[in-house]
Amino acid sequence: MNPEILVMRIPCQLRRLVVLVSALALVACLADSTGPDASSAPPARAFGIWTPGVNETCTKEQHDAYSVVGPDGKRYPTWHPPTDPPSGCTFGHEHGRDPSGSRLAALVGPIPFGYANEQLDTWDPLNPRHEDHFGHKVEWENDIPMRVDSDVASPLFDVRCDVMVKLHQGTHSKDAFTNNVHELVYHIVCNDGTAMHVTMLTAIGKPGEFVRSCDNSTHIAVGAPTPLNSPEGGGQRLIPDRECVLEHMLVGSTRNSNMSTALHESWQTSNQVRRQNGQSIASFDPYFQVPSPSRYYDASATALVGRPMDMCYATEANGDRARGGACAEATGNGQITGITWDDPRSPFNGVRRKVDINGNRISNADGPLVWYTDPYGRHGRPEPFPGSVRQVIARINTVLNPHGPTIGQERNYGGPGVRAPN
Amino acid sequence: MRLATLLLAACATLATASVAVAQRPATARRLSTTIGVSKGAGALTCPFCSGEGKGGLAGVVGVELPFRTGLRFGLEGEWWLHSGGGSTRSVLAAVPVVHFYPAASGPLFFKLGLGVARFSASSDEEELRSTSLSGLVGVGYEFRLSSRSALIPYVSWLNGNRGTMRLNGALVTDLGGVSLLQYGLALSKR
Repeated sequence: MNPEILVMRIPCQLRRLVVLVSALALVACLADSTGPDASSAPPARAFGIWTPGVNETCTKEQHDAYSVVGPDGKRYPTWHPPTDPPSGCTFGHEHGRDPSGSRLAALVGPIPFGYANEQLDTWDPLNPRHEDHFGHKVEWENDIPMRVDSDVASPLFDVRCDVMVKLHQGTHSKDAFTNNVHELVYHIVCNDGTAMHVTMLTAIGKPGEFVRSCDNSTHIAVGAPTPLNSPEGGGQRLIPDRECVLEHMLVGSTRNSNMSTALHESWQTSNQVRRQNGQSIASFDPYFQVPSPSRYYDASATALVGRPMDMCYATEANGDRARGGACAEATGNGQITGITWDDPRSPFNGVRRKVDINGNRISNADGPLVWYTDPYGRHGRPEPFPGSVRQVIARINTVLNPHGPTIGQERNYGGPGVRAPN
Repeated sequence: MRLATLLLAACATLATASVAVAQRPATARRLSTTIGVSKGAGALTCPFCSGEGKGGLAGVVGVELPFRTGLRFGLEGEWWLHSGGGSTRSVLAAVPVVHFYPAASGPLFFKLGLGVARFSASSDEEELRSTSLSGLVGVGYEFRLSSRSALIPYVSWLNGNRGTMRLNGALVTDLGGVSLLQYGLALSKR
């Protein structure tokens, strides 16, 4: 008889029970995230802004059928597949992983895209921030094994979390060159009691600039952000520029292009939900990475945007050009010409992404389960106020501060007709 | 498994002697003390604990007094120790117990107890502790060595939950617990 095996059995039955009880306890607090019939609700600014291009076979009406009523009673767009199941028509863009498979989906309902942006219109009407439709990207994973903040405790615990995140991460336009404010929805429930349901506008790095991704250090100042009073956040936005492309994508005949260095984007968030007095209630810092964006920063280009697909056909004066990799595959080693940046055949469409869950910390043992903050996650109060966003945060002080792994790296959200802008 | 083999051999050797113990001697009315050493497996338990049991040296120290025929009340201290991976894990427990002899003069007894147990894991920089109300169940068999002493192979299981778990003093959970299974050999003197 191996006594170790006997001892191991005891806590296993309790684990699922505690997660279930925690989830049920939060249901009541989250129940108002959905509302009445969407068709009769007034539209939010984010609703109805997508229209089909020449390649898309779905109508605007088919697209707008994917909607949900937000906590403010307005109609918002929400997740939809890239191909409409009933009709088989294509939307040409995708929003990531179908949230219905997440355990948290039953708890929080459909995610209203652009809800925090909408609340900013009320909180700070002179400084609005609205984002396009393409950039809303969902990622989730159930039962993720986490690490904890202790060498002694780490081997003794089996902390697991369900995580669902949605970041507006547009990687096709010039928006993120200057704008550090993007909508983030973050849901996490762990078996150690860690639980957060946060919707906010996260400020990623400094407004008006980004950091060159291929050297991870050069700050590129681009221009005025939207809104002009965008707060400076922690973290940074690593975005490729023309230097990255020229150095790592266009290469001599002795080597292949290093696309992962040339074009990789990493949006490294550092988020805090704070009380009115500035004290932190919760913090978390997921990183969002996109290996094949459809843009890079080019100060000499129209609208400051360069297109990686165009560079597949470019040759420098010294003979350097894209060699191997995605360019070679897309163009049949140069045999296929004329693929434009928004062509469904372009591999630079941002359909592959991954999220590093990273750390999660809560200091709310003496606070309420429900907080209302401004759209930036600040000025938290127990009662709602104009322009506030409802946040649900477990009433605990986390000690283990569970750290999550990378999720989503094995998935490809491309499909028929999916193309940049995506 | 080496300890288990030794225990079995000891039991076989003592089996003949035990047959001779037909009646509990008069000294059974006196206070007895027991010291045992065993192999044990201890684990930290909680809803998010791995529950992984680690083997180590364990033991028991106890005193018992007869209460009525076939029943003895006592107090036991249980311990377990495991070192490895840069940390030391231990269990310490103090448990009031009742020993029940199904045959009043027989060698077989069962024990039940309820006390307090603490699981601790520590390194030079950190300490994790979980203290909980814990139950104890066990069984032993007295091989009489003389009128005042007996050798007792025993198995016991200590289990607690809903205790306070702290990491470096900060509360981790109120659902902490401990589990300790041990099987070994004890010497009892009256």
